[in-house]
Amino acid sequence: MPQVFTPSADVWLGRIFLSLVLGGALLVTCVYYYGPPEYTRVGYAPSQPVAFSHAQHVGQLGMSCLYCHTNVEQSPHANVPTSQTCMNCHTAIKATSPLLTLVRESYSNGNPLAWERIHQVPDYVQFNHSVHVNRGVSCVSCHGKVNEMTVVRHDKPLSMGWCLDCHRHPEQNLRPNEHVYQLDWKPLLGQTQSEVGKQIQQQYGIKAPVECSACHR
Amino acid sequence: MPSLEQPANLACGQVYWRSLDQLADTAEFREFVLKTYPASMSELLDGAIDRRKFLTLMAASLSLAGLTGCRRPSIKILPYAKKQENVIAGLPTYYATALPRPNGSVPILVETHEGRPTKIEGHPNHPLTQGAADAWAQASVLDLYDPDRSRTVVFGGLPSTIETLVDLLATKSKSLAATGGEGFRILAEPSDAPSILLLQSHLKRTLPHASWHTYTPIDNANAVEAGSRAFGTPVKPQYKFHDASVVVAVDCDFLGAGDGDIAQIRGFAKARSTEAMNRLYVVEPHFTLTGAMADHRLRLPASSAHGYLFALAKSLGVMGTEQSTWTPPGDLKWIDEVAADLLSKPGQSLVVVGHRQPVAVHALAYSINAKLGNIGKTVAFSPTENSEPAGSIQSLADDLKAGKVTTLVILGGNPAYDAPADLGLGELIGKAETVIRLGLHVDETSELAKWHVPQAHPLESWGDCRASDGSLLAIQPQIEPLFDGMTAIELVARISGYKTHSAYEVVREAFKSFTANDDFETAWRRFLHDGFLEGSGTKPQEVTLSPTPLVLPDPLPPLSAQNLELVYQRDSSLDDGRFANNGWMQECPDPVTKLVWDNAAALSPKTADAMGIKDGDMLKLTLNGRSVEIAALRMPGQAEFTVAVPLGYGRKVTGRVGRHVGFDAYPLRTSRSPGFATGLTIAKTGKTHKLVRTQDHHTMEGRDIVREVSLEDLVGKAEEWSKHRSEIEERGALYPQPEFTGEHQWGMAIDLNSCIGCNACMVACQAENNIPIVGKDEVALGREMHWIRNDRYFSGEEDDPGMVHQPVACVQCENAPCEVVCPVNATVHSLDGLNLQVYNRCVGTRYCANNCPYKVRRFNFFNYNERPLDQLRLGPFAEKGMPETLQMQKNPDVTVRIRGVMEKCTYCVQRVERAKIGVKVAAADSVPGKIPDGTITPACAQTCPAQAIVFGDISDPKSRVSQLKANQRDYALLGELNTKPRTTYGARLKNPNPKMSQPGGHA
Repeated sequence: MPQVFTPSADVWLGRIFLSLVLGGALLVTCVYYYGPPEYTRVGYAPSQPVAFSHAQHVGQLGMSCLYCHTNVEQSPHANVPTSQTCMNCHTAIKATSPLLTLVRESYSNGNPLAWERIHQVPDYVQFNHSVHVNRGVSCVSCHGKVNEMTVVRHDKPLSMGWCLDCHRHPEQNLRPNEHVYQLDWKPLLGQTQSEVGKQIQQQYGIKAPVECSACHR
Repeated sequence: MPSLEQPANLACGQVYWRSLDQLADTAEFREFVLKTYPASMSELLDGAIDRRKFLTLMAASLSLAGLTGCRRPSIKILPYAKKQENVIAGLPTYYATALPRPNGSVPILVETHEGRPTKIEGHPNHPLTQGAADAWAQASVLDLYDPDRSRTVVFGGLPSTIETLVDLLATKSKSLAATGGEGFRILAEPSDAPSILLLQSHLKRTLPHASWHTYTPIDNANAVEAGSRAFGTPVKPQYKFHDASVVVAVDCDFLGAGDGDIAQIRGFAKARSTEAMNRLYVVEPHFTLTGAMADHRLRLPASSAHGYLFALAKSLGVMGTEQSTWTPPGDLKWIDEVAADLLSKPGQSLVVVGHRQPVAVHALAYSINAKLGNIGKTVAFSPTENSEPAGSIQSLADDLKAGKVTTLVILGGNPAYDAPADLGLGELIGKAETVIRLGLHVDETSELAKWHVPQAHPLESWGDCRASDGSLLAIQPQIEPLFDGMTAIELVARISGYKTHSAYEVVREAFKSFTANDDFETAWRRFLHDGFLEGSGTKPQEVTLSPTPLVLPDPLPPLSAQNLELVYQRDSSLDDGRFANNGWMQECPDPVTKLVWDNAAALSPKTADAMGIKDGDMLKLTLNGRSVEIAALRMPGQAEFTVAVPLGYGRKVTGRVGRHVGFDAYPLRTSRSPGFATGLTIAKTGKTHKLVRTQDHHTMEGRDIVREVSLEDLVGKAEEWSKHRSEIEERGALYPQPEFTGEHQWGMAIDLNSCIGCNACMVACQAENNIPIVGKDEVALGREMHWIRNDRYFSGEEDDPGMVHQPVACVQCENAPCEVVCPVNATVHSLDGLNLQVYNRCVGTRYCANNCPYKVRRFNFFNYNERPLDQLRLGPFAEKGMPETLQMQKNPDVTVRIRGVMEKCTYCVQRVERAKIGVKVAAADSVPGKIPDGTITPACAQTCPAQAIVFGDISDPKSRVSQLKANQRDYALLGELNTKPRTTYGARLKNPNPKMSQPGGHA
């Protein structure tokens, strides 16, 4: 019976083994780096049908988030504004701008504008905007400094671990309700975010739920 | 260290059983319960997929999966172009409207999400519903989205357009006007809607030769006719079960599908839960929900009901009954003691008769009630609505036969399927030159009509109707017609040349007679907002019995195996057949027989055994030369030599769901005997049919599951129960208890004394929680998905048992056996005591379901939402995707589960969270308070007509649920396992007459 292993077996077996280990390690590294929402989602900034600039409207002109996202204080969803909302101003300002052609068309024919969705949680997650913005959590905590974005980008991972970080330590993101829509707000000099947050947490009686049913139902 | 030995089981002194197989302890039954999921892997062989095919399929699906996974899907957000009034994206809006029915319409409140109706609730402010709705109302929303609804106008079998039809109607209208409506007939369901009455009177004025006929297979016409006969004026009865302490129901299912009504159920439940509890005697041919609630039940063929009531009347001393010679089979107490009991409560008793019984029996019951002084107290008579007198279907058939009809318009209904067989309407309809049929589906009648017009669903239409108390209800569209449907109002307005064709305008016009002209707009807007007109219910009328002679019962030859009685039954799921294409109703087990996706001819076990008939044997039923084939079912509690057949099945032309399900009994039903008939013979054909019943599914073998106690034994029993409970509590738990530090501690109390087992909770839960249907074959394997099931137990003897219903959903154990066995923590406890199921964690081991003593967990064996039910086993070769219209029905607040995921009752956690969030949002920058008691109502509790289910915070001693749990009747299901369930039950009370024997073995 011929031998199964020739003298060179040591070498090629060793190489196979080494490449398996290295390959495996590479695979783990890739999945670990490219897999989580931090890579897959953060930074996603698709171009939109209408080049709306938050930096211009909010950052420079100082419009409130609530002018367009009208329902955010009552509804789970922060609604994207109707074309009618755009036309409130743009019938007078830049009324003939070619950049706004699609908005004017939508307003006149009633068909919705198809915006690209950027922030997206899985279907089995029920996020509620109203309970956050009414209880001292600013837009900036989840959406980043939208007031500085010309093109809106996905700024935070919105992963479950990331949500739970805040639900376990809400003081890191709490501020007085009147500053919720001021994305540039900072605690007064001499105060840290934690101190302000803890005080608000006590005053508002905030117990951020960490039970599954808070989001999954 | 807690004790490990099996805890003592509390003897309940009564044998409860679910099926005849269980009672006889047959080998089949034992094999069935050995398997928690009664399916084995051998089913894979059914699909005839061999190993090679399997591998090919797997490879194909894997490579496809790889291709699609590469890109981030681009998802669009489509905001409204213009702001919509009252719509806030993400929040539901509620509108009041109504569901028209031939026998009293239902006021409802519709939950809509961005313009999609998703859920129906009973109207909370209407005195009739008070927030409750029945199973049919709950299921109506699925009818709206039925993908099999007819979508286009059909002319001669070919698709046509609505424009062509409108042209035709315009031409017809002109030609009819020229001849004064010569040869023009309309056949519709009976309606007392003001808008229809308006059109009827217009028709009479402008087209004097035309006539309007009405027909519906099951109605209360006999009760109304008897009213006219007994009192000499057209009146109909309105029962007040709330005020009745002794009720005798003769062939009357006033709690169930037969003659049921939400208000009646609530009234009865109230009269039963008070300390001075009512007593119910039921005389009926087959088991009904009313019979299940009875303190005393007599099995009696429907044809003997007249004789029984006559004998009872004689014993009560009603004038004109002296000649009765009828004696009850066996027990004379059924006459004397019942009469004595009735006489002991003058003005607080009630004798009711069901729709099946002929006019004479109803009139007899009115005489008895008059004698007992009940009129004006427990039964009031109100005038029937002033309607244009309508012709019958009989006169229409005569006209058709005589060739007098040129144009026939059929509005709704399905006369070709359900009209009396002796009329032969099927052949006659074709005799008319032009037949225009308005219907939700293309059905048997549409097949015979030249024109079929898609009908708008009530949730898409303008209209009005009247509830059973006569109050005026508004029907307003919740959504634009999905398939360009037309309403009956519009069609009639067009063809009769009414001044406006818009249903909205006609309804407005009809409403004018209800309001003073100067404030019409205010009144109209208020009417639409409220959904009903306050104070428009019919007022009771003073009636005096006219001295008409009572009709003596016909002497009947005794029933025997050669002379059986056939009883037609209104089906609890499909009504008269109108819900045949509704999957929720098809899969909802009949509360009495537990059949799904089928009907069957029920025979008593004794009769069946004598004739050698087994369950599922195909029988040929022959009556007066007409015959049908139907499967047999041995039903305990059925009167000897009677055969009960539910109507509404065996549809030949309808959508994919209802086609060829069950057996059609209409071919036996004639206009002379629409309720029941004698002279039936049956013969076995030798074939068998697979009947699927859920009665043995999810059994909790032989333990103390339902508790029933008579009123007098209650105190003693309650002491025994409380001792048993404290013994269990002392034993402690094996596992560490979860922490219950939440603000609220949720719990539920279900009162078995109120629950009548009507299934409304099951369908409500299905609508609220996006529960799929699985089809007959899967139900046969025990895979039905209902989160709340309605267990039905028999007690006592095989032939004449008692019946108890018990709704069981997840009882939310504090020491939950499911949690300790889950390897991935997919089922965990919340701080407020909910046993949560986390779909995204679940990997589908099913350990939890195996460890659940209550058998309330449901597993998605297939992707029921995404695949057609007949292609579940085809893997990637099955069609994929949910029809778009069905997607629209889904509740956006609840995850739609996929294959491989376990699910179960959540106490409607989405409603709990909505309330919690509401309190927090309202608190804004202050500390939120507690959620007030009664804010959260799970879907089952909300719809319960008997208000048997109460949900709330058990940590608050003042909450309703805490008070109910403090009741001495309260007990934990399988309490001896120390699972500490949050849902507890109230034992059922019985109030037997000490002088009589009781059903269910209490001699």
